[in-house]
Amino acid sequence: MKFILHLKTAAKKIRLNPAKPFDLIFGAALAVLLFPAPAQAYLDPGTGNIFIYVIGTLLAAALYTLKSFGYGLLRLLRPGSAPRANKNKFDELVIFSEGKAYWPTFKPIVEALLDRGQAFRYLSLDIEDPGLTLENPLIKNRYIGNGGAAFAKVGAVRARLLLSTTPNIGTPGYPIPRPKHVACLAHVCHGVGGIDTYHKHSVDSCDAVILMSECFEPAIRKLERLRNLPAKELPGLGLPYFDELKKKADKIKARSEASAKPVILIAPSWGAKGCLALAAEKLIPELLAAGYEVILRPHPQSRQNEAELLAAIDDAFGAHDNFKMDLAIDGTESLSKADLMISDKSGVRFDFAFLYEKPVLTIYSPLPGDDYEAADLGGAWEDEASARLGPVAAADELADIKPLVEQALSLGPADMSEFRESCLRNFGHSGQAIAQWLIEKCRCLAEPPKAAPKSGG
Amino acid sequence: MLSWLYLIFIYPLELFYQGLYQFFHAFTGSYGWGLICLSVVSTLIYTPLKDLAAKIQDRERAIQAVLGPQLKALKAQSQGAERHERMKNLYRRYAYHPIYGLRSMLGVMLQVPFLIAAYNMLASYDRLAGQAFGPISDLSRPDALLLGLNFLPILMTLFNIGALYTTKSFTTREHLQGLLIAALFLILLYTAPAALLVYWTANNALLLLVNLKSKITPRASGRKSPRLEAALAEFKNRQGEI
Repeated sequence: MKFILHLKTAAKKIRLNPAKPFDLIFGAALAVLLFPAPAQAYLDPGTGNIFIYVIGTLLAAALYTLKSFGYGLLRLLRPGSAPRANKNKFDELVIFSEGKAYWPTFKPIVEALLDRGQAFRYLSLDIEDPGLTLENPLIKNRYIGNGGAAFAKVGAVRARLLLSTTPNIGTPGYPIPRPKHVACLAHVCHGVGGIDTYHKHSVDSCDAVILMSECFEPAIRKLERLRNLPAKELPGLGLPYFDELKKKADKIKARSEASAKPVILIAPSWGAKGCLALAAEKLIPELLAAGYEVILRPHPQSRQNEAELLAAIDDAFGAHDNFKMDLAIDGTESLSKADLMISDKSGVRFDFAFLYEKPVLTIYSPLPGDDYEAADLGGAWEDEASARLGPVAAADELADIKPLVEQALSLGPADMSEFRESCLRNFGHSGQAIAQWLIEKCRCLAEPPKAAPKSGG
Repeated sequence: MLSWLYLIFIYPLELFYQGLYQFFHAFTGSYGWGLICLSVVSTLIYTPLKDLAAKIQDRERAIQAVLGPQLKALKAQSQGAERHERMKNLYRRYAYHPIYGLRSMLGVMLQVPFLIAAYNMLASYDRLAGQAFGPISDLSRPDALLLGLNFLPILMTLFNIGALYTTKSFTTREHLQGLLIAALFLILLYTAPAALLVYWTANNALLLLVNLKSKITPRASGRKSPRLEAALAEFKNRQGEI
């Protein structure tokens, strides 16, 4: 017995997972004793590891089941035990998330709903979704898997209102059908702009689209007329993901110090349409030669797909005093330090302009093909918006970057805040506005339809 | 019950392996080279099963990576019935039950019949008596190549350890477990017939080769155009002049 205790102590020192019931030496010996034939037929390291894992798993499962039974029985026998929660309260509102990438959009809404005492379900396709970690009696959060079975679960949802950032629900050919037992399918935008950069028919099946502001309403009405679709509800309630970003930006703005020379942040998209190669070839050398401080913040995907190019950039410019490559997960530091951003179609331009009220020089490229709603709308809002952020130039028009940079730097915070106020509502508190709308909408949907008045005479 | 399981799942595979081995012996004219060929074919057969097992394990590992910290936190914060209730809710949120850990066993369940069949067939194959292969004088007996000590179990263990440390995504715990199991089987198979050890060593050597190949294959990482390369080189030169 003492020997086993010593072994267990030794095993703990090697930092084993405390959730596993057996230490590795004891478990391995058991594996050999219980499975002599397969143990002697052992082929490779992976197979042997599995046997130890199996023993531990069976014991943990048995213990868990016994405890569940035991505690359940105690609860029944205890006098005055708490009544079961009303399950129907979760049938009103469902939020569907594709994954952790959309948590910045849903987090402010979820928090506001919980503050207001509204019960709801939260369904996610991503096991790493932070929304699944919440423990609150008002939220019934579930990981529903991914793939065909998960899409079918979404299609089978029964609720008064289903809220999602996923476009194309119900679009023919898309794997997620429009749920038949949902009275109102609501789409909430998760990026700056309207639906002109969405693929065609993305929101045709929706009953409501929560927009940045009422400015984007005419585009959807135009598509409804063109396609003979019923009128949707189009509340202009803002973009919830700005709520968290604004809190971070406000904190860091209070701390940041002014730099001696203008700081230019280059934030390209990734892939062939991004301006990373242009940055390396032209932007960085010219900006450094002009005496600016330059920060390059590549897209996270570039770190995998364009690693060689990034290494070449680091090799060429890394030693320069005024150059820095920012690979941090959180770009708040670089965004707050910069005086100007240079980017292509990336949505980070609007984050920069709206949160830090600083200008952007856009490297223009048109939307490829006719697959986007912009083709039916006769243009994308983003093309006009880019001009409000600062100068716009095509890649082949960048003969001399310095005049464009000077032009951009002449724009002040007032220009950016004016533009922001013209196209974005509830800046910094959109989550609360959306939560309130959801609650009122659910209440509305719960009321029986009013009977039509009888005609007199 | 076990004999029924043997008759349904193992015995047909034993016959298959026996037939295959006899074919390879006829083809190569050597029981030793026949073992090597049998090992190659076995590896080709259960590599897809092994890949399936690895995918299932990876999925399970991903779930554990998410559940682990949350379980740790709730165990630190609560006790007794409250802890159990929170644990139940946690598992419910992720559509998980501790028994689901057995999903990782699926890959092994697919492989184990092949492993047992090969072992049984070779251990009872009486034609190996007196058959030599290279420096091994009798494939049906331990090799005794190292001044009376058996060399093949040691070689098998070395390949085992090489395969262990070149297997993708194994944690420190899994490495330690693998080392322990390698040591245990060195003891278990030390006095096994040389034929079994030739077969097993060949299997592990192939696994090691597969692992090394996946490490050496380069990944694509973006293209540089000649114009870009020239621009970067020019900038570097200008910096050098300054």
